[in-house]
Amino acid sequence: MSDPRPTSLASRMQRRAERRRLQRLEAYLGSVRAELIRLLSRTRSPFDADDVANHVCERLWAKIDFYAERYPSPVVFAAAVLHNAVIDYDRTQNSQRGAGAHAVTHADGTMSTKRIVVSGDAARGEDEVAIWEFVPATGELPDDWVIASLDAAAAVARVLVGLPESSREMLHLLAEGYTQSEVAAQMGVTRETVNRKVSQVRQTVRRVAEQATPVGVG
Amino acid sequence: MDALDALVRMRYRPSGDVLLGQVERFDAHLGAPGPEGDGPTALADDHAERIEHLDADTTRTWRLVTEGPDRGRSMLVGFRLVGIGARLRAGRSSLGDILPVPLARAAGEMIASADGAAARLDADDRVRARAEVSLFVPRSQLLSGVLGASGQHGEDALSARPEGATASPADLGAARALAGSLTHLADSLQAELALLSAARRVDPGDHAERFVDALRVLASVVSRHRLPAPGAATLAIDAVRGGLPLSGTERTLLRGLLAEMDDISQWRDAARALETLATTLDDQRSRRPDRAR
Repeated sequence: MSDPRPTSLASRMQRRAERRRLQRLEAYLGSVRAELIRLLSRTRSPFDADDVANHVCERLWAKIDFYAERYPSPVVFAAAVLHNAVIDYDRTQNSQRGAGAHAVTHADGTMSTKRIVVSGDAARGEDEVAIWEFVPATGELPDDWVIASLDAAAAVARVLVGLPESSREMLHLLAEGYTQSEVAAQMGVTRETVNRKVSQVRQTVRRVAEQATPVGVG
Repeated sequence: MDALDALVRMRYRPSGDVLLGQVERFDAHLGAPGPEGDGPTALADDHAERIEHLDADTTRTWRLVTEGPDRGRSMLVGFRLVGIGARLRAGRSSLGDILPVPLARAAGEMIASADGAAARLDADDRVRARAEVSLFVPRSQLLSGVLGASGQHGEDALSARPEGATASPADLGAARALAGSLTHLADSLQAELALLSAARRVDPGDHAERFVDALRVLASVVSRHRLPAPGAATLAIDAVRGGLPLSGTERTLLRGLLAEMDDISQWRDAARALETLATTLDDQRSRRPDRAR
């Protein structure tokens, strides 16, 4: 008769390993939620921000092993999915109110109101490139929703990382809310120079985002 | 007695350790007749809201009072506190410094109760758990000018700091230096832990993994927001325990450095000290690649 102790020890070790794995994944999810709240605090009321963050976290938790392994930084993950998450959340809310979705996201990150064409299970903006168009009109979000977002975001990030330091600083200052004139003054260049460089980056980003976002995912 | 109360709703998420609150409406005092809605506490519309970032993890939203005796003053209408439960347990934050006393007291009780309850849930339920509480607060206690008796505590003397200037972000160089040093230290510790694990001499334990993860999160938050993140820093400080390949002196030093990150003016010095610590670990490892420390 075999000694039960090794089995018991193995079982305890297995349970302990599983507990540690879950704790680590919970911490990952918590960090995603916290970062989403930080980012959304600039534009959303507290409970609205929490609702959007929870919208993401509930989906994330269903496939947490996959995402935590593929995207080890929860802060980067949160930033990458934020844009789509907000649009998808708003769209869900609008759909629930029967209003339909009318916001279109352009490849350069700006948003505008436009008529939405629903084709198959994907909502698409007319003549616009919008990552969120791969979100199905109804039902659960597929894994591809987040993957497409992250792939596109990663492609854009590669472009941004490859930019000269001065261009990156310009974009950073603009993102902070400074005007082009203020950025020009801070960096000791003309406003036209800022405008030209930003336009060049915008064109490159648009092209890369289009290439990285295959139509019909989901 | 205040003629009007504000109905404030607060929500706490154990997952993410986030406390949120917002004024739902202003109403007649309980039991007293009076018009619903803003009434004499009419506030400016949403566009006049000002979001005050005390740091990356703490924001308060203020709105201008446009009518009545308090016209021209700011009223607290919302707040967000990230990592607040951990900050409270570590004694690194006081809710009374951020919120009016009635809200601070109710929030403290809600957080303690929710954390206790969440600990008994399984993981699936815990990540979805939330606690909520609504309470009426005299509107006068939400006014910025009334929040200014710093250091005083008690029913009538509110201790929360008044509305102030939003914290200025650190310059890019300081933020990058600090984020880089935090990441370097995380890399060094991870390499050391891998050695220990491979040698099967020491189980690094839960805290070691948690600490490395927390360092990386803190580096990302510092880099992205360029503001102190006391919630993220507290998670890292809390994980500085036995099991890390650091001496007692190094652990004490590390706790101090992480605590100093609440002050942007200390970032460059902290970055240098962290870099030195990480380099020391690298040197020790390169000299003794086959030995656990």
